Amino acid sequence: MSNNATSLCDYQKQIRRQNNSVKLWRILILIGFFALWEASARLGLIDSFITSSPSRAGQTIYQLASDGSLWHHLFTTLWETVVGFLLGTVLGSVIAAILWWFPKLCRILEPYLVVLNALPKVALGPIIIVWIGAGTSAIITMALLISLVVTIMGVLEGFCSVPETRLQLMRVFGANRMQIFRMVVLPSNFSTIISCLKINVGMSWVGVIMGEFLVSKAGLGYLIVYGGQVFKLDLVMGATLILCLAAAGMYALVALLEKKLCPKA
Amino acid sequence: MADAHAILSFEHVGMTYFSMEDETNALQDITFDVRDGEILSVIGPSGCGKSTILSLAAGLLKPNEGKISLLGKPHDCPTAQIGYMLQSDHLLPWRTIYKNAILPLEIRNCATKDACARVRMLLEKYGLGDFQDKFPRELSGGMRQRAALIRTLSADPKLLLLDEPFSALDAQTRLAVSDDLVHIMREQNKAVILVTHDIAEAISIADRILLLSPRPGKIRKQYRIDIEGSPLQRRNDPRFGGYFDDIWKEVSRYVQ
Ligand SMILES: Nc1ncnc2c1ncn2[C@@H]1O[C@H](COP(=O)(O)OP(=O)(O)O)[C@@H](O)[C@H]1O
Ligand SMILES: [Mg+2]
Repeated sequence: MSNNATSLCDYQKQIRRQNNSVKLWRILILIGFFALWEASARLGLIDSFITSSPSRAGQTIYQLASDGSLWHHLFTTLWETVVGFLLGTVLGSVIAAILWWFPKLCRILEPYLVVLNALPKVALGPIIIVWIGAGTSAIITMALLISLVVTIMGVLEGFCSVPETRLQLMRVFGANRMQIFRMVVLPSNFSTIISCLKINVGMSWVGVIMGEFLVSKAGLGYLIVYGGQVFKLDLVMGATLILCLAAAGMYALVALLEKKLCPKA
Repeated sequence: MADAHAILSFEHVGMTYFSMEDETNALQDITFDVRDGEILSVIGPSGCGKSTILSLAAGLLKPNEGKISLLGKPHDCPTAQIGYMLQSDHLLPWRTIYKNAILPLEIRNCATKDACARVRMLLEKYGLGDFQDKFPRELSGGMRQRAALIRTLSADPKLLLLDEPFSALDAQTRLAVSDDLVHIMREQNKAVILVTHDIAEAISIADRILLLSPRPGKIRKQYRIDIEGSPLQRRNDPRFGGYFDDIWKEVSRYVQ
């Protein structure tokens, strides 16, 4: 991008113009995509039985919304996701704290953590269903498992990255391990934990939708799978669109929270 | 052998670090003491064991050989009698300057009203009064180092251990800040061990200098510095150059 501004005011104007142009293009692409999709469906260029179309997907969403079932499905999924990522972050941080506290335990468990991290958690789906039962708890467990190991590893690394000299200083001040953790280690990693929260939102969506594919009787994942099975592509597309909006909205909320809680990060 | 006025004394102290691959003999036969109100500087090439001496003096490490006593008693764990300060100020960014300064008091559960008032008094006295409720990032490097020194003084220790406290600062700030901190330490009448690798800095600050040899660190020579005044005044004293040449001659013998 060229910069041939002659004054600050000029420069700001140029940057603002560029920003506006980027925004405009983003909107145009969105509109263009839906318009092309709709037009090709109407002109018969694509088979709308297989591809659906924006208007048909919209209609389906409208119907679901007016008979109230949309909210039921949406809130089921939202609830599972929120519980999943909060639980994953909190539990992961607590386990990381325990591992920091007992370095030997941490060394012993390290290979297990690595394997658990490498394992695609979806593979555990059937085991979870058998053990926990085919219901909401199984779905939440799935979401939890996906974010848990990453959180443990990320937060533990943060806990261990406090400079040795800083810990030494605290020891000279007479601090015991609990004080070192409470006064230095935990507060220095506040932003690590918040950013794990942000990552876990995404992880949790994967877990919940996978879980709903496997077991559920309600939720957006259920609508998508059900729509696929009965070949109602309008339903699949409609539910997917709602899913996009919900996931983006939740991510934006958590990003906002991060900005509020650690503005310098 | 140990002097009755000694705050801290090392007697034939030796220290070796072990690892699976090898052992590092860091210090050999170190004997010295620090008296009340005295500033002792330890200089030597990097890796010769200066920081190890401070860790031993702080009670963070136990020597393999010899004996360390603090106020005449065996010394083997950190106590409130000792303050410690490093190259990086390590002020906690989420605490205000005042909160940082009373950290040692909080840790030892002795943040009484009197003790806190004393810290506030120190902050006021040494020009940080208006910054008490600011966060470290809002202060300049020199002011942060001053805040770190006041934190070290908050538990009213007898002995301060400083590990290259000025080496993170740029050349100009460094002179001003060392002037500043030395003024505070002299006024508070603390015994100090100052580690540095800068000969001129040691001469401008210390009453006595221990010169260590390269690893394994042994005391190669001791110097008594008989110049009065602040670091800046000392640097302008005609005898300054003489001390510098003496020490430099000794150092350059093993520099090659
Ligand atoms: N924790 C440690 N484990 C093993 N070796 C160490 C450790 N700390 C220091 N050393 C070694 O001991 C020697 C002296 O280190 P140090 O006291 O830090 O020197 P200085 O502060 O003079 O640069 C160095 O060779 C260093 O590599
Ligand atoms: Mg050192």
